[in-house]
Amino acid sequence: MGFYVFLLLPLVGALLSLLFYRVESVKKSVAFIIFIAIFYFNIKLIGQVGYTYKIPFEIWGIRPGFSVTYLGLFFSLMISGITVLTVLFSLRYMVNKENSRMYYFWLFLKTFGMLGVVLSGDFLMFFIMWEMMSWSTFFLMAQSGGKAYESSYRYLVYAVVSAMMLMFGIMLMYSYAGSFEYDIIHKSLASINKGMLVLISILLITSFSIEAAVYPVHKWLPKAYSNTFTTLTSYLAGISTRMGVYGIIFYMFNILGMPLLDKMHIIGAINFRYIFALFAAFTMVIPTFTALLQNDGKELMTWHGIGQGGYMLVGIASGTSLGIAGGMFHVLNHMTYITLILFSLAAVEYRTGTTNLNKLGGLIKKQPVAFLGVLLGIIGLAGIPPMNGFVSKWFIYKALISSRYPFLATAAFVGTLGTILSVYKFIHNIFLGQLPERYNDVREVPFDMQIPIWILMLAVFGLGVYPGLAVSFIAKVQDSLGIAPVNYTLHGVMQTVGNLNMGIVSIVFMASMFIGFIVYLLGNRRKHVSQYDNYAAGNFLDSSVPYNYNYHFYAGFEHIIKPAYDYEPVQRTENSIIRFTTEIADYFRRLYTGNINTYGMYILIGLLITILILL
Amino acid sequence: MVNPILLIIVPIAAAFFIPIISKAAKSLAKYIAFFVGLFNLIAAIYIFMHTINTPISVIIAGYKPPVGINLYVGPLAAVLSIVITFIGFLSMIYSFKYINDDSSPLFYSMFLLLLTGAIGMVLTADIFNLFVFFEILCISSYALVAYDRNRDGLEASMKYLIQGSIGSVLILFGIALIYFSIGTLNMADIALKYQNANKNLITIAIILMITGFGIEAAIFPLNSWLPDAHSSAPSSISAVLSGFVIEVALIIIMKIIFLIFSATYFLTFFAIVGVITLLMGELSAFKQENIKRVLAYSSIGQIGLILFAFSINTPQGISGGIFQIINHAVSKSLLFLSAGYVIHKTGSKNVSDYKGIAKSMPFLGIVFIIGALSLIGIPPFIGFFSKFNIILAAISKHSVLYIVLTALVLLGTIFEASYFFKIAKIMYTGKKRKEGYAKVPFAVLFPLGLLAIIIVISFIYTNGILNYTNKAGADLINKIAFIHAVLG
Repeated sequence: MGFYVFLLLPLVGALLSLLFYRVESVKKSVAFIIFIAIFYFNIKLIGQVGYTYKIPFEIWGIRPGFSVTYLGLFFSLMISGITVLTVLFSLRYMVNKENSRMYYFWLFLKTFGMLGVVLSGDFLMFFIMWEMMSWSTFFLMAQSGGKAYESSYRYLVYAVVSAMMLMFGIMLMYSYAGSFEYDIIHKSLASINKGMLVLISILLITSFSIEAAVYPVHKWLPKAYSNTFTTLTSYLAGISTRMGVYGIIFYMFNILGMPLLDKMHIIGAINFRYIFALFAAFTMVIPTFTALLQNDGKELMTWHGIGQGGYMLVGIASGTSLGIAGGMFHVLNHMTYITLILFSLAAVEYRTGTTNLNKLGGLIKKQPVAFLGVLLGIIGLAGIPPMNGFVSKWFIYKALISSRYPFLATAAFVGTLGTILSVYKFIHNIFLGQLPERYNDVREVPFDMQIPIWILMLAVFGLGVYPGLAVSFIAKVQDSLGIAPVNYTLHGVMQTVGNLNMGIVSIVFMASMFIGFIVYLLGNRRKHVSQYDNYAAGNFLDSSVPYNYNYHFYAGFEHIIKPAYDYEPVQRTENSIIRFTTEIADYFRRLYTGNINTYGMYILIGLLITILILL
Repeated sequence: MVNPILLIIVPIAAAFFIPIISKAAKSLAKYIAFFVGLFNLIAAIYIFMHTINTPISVIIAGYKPPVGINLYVGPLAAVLSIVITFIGFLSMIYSFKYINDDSSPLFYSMFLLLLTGAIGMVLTADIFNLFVFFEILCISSYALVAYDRNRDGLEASMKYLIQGSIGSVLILFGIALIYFSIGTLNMADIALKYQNANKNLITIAIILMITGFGIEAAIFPLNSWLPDAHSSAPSSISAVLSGFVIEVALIIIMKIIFLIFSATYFLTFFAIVGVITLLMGELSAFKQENIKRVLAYSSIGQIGLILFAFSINTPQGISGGIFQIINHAVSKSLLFLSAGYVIHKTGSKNVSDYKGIAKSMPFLGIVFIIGALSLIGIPPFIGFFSKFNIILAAISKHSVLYIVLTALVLLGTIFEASYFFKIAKIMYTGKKRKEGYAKVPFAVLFPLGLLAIIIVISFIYTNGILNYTNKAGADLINKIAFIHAVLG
C-alpha cells in the first residue's frame, strides 16, 4: 500500500503544480506537503526491503516494475531527504523569480525519475526512469532562461549520448539474457565471451560516467549547474550527478559482481577496474585545480562537485570493502556539505544579488549563520576533521594505501591540497576582508531559510562525530551486494591495522580549539574598530581604497598552474567533434543541390547500383 | 459491415463533385470535405474492427480474381487506412482555417484525391490498379505542393513532378515486364506463378518497381525531391505528405518484397541503405535554417529507420517498422502542423526568427516539444516504444553487421535530438512577444491537442498497439494466407 502512494505522490504533485501553475501559494504548499510525505513514506520503506511491485499494464508482454533494495533505499533516502530541504529553502528563495512557474513541476518529475531509477526492478524500468530523470533535469535547468538554455542544451546533447549508450548496452544484455530482469541478466553475463562483456561494460560505465561527470566527459556540468537557480545548483550538485555513481555501483556490483568485474583484466593489475580508477583519479585532480581559477562562487563549487565525484569513484573502483563503503559514504557526505555551502551561498545571493567572488567580501558580521554554514561546509569539503568529509576521505585513503595503489593515493592527496586552497579563497572572498559600501544594509536571511542550513550543519558535524549512524546502513548495503561489510563502530571503523575513532579525534580537536580560545582570552585587551578607522603602508584607508585582494586571489599560484590549463585538450576535442559534425552535415546538405539534372543523375546511379548489387 | 470499396469511392466521388457544387456555393466545399473525411475515418475504424483478425477479399463488379480487380483488406491495410484517414482528417480540419481563397474547392478536391490514392494503394491487390492509385496520389500531391503558387512551391512541384514521372515510368516498365513474363496482374496470382518465369527478368522488374516506388518513398539516393516539396507545400499538406504518403510507398515496396516475390535477398542491402538514408537525413537536417526543411530532412531520416526496421526481417522488426510508421505519422504531422502555425504567425520559415515564440504561445511550444521527444524516442512517449522495438529486433539478430548498424541508428538519434532541441532552445530564448499571440483558433487547437494527447497517453496502451502491429506485420509476410484469401 505504502509503495503505491510513495510512487504516485511525485506524479500527483507534478499534476497539481501544473494545474495551479498560476497560484503561487497553492504550488508552494503542495510542494512542501507532498515532498515531506514522500520522505515519510520513504522512511517507512526501510521495513519493506525485498518488496517488488509490477505496474498494472504490459509493455511488450513484459510488466516492468520496481523493487526495494538496500542500495536503492540508501540513495532514495538521500534523494527525498535533500529534496525536502531544497523545497524548504526554495519556498522563500524562489519568490518573485522570473521564469520559475514550472519550478516545482519539474522538481517533482525529476524526483520521480530519480526515485524510479534507484528503485527500479528491471532494466526496462531503469531506462525509462533514467530518461525521465535526464529530460526533466534539462527542463529544470533550462527554465531560468538566458544563458541557462545554452548550457543546458549542452547537457542535453551529452545526456542523449549517454542515453543511447545505455540503451545499446541494455539491448546487448537483453539479446543474451532474453529478459530485462536483473537476476537473469546477472546469470547470463557469466557465460558470454570476454569481448562482448567488455563492450557492454564500456557502454554502461561510460554512460553513467557522463551523468557522474567523470573526466574527460565532465565539461557539460559547470556551466549547466551554475547558470541555473542557486537552490537547484545545490540540489543538482548534491544528488543529481550522483545518480551516475549509483549506476556505476549498481552495474559493477549488482549486475556484474566482483568475480566478473575482475575477469576483464589485461595484464597483471591492469584490469577494467584500475583503468576506471585512473579516470577517477584525473577527475579528482584536474577539476579541483580548475575550481581554484574560478571567480564565481557557484562555478567554483560545481567544479568541486566534479572533483569530489572522483573520490567516490576511486573508492568504489578500489574494490575493497572499506573503499566501497568510503565511496558510498562520501556520496552522502558530499551531498550534505555541498548543499550546505550552496544554501549558504544562496543566502548571500538572496541579500546581495550576486555570487561573484570578486565583488563580495566582509559579510561575516552581516550574515553570521551563512558564514558558519560555509565554514562547516568547507571543512567537510576539504576533508578536515572533525567534519564528515574527513571520515569518508579517510576510508578512501586507507583503502587505496592498503590495497597498494600509490598513484591513486597520491592523486587523492594532491586533490585535497587543491580543495583546501580553493575553499579558502571561497570563504575569504565572501566573508572576510573589507565589506563593500553597498552591502552595509545586508541582513541575515529570514529564519525559515536558515532552517535547512542549521539542519545541514548538524548533519555535517554529526556524521563526522558519529559516522556509524550512516555506515551501519552502508554495511547493510554492502552485505546485500555480496561485498564483505565494513566493520563499523559508532565512531568509525575497527580494523586489523589502524582503527578510526572519530570520538577521540573530535575531542582532541575540540580540546585544542578550546586551548586556542583560552590563549585568545589571556591575550591583551582588544579594541574593535571600524574597517575604515585603520591605516596601511602609511595611508589612511577609507571607502575609496580597496585593500583586500579578492581579485586574483592566488595570482602567484595561478601563474604556475595556468599554462597547464591553457591548452584545454578536452574542450578542444569537444570543439573539433562539433566542427567535424557540422562540416559533414553541411557537406551532406549540399548534396541536395536544387538542380534537377543532378537529381536525375542520383536516380540513375541508385538504379544502377541496385542492379549491380542485386542482379 | 461497411464495404471497404466505399473508402475509395466516397472520396473520389466527392472530389469530382466538389468543383461542380462549389460553383453554386463556395463554402460548401469545406463541409463536403469534412463529412467525407469523417465518414472515411469512421468507416476505416469499422473496417479495422472487422478485418484485424480475419482478412477479407472484396471482388469488384462481379469479375473474380485473377481476371477482375479486387481489394485485399487484412490487418496491415486496416491499420494503415486508420493512419491515413486519421491524419488526413486532422490535417483537413487544420486546413479550414488557412485555405480559404478562391481556389479552395480545388484544394479540397485534390486533398480527397490524395486520400483516395493512398487508401487505394494499401487496399488493392492488383498491381496495375496499384499503379493507377499511385498516379492519383502523385498527381494530386504535385498539385498540392504548388498550391501556394509562389516561386518555391512551383519550382519544388516541378522538380517533384519530373522525378515522380521518372518513377512512374520505371514502375510501369516493371509492371509491363511482369505481365510479359507471368501473364497476370493480380498480386496473389503473380505470387503463385512467378517461380516458373525467367528469374533475371523478374529481378529486373522488381528492381525497377522498387526504384520507382523508392523515389516516392524517399529512399537515398532517390529522395532529392523531398526537402523541396515537403518544405514548400502548405503545412497541412506537408503533414500529410510526411505523415503517410512516403510510408505508403515504402509499404508497397515491402509488399513487393515480402508478399509478392519473397525477395528477401534484397534485405541486407536495404538495411544498409536504410541506415545511410537515416544518417543522410539527420545530418542534413543538422545545419538547416528553414524549419520545414528540417522537418522534411527528419522525415528522410525516419523513413531510413523504418526501412531498416523492415529489413531486419524478423516478425519483431517488421512489427516495429509498422509501429514506427504510426509514431512517425502522429509525431511528424504534429510537428508540421505546429510549425505551420508558427510560420503563419511570424511570417517566416527561418528558425532564427522564432526567438521567444514559445513564451508567447506556450501551447505551441509544448506540443512541438512533445512531438520532437516522441520522434527522438524518449520514454514515456509513443516513439520510444517503436524505436526500442526496432533496436531490440536488430540486436537480437546477433550479427556484427546489425550491431554496427544499430550503433549508427543510435548515432543518428543523437543528431536528431541535437537539432530538434536547437530549435526548441531558440523558441524559448528571447523576449515574449506582445501582439496577438495568445489565442489559438480551434481548427489548430483541436488537431494539435489531439495528436499531443495521443502521443502522451498511448504508453498505457502499447501492448494493444503492439498486438495490432504484430498482426499487421504477420499479414505482410504471410504469403500463403494472402494467396488463399484472394484466390480462394
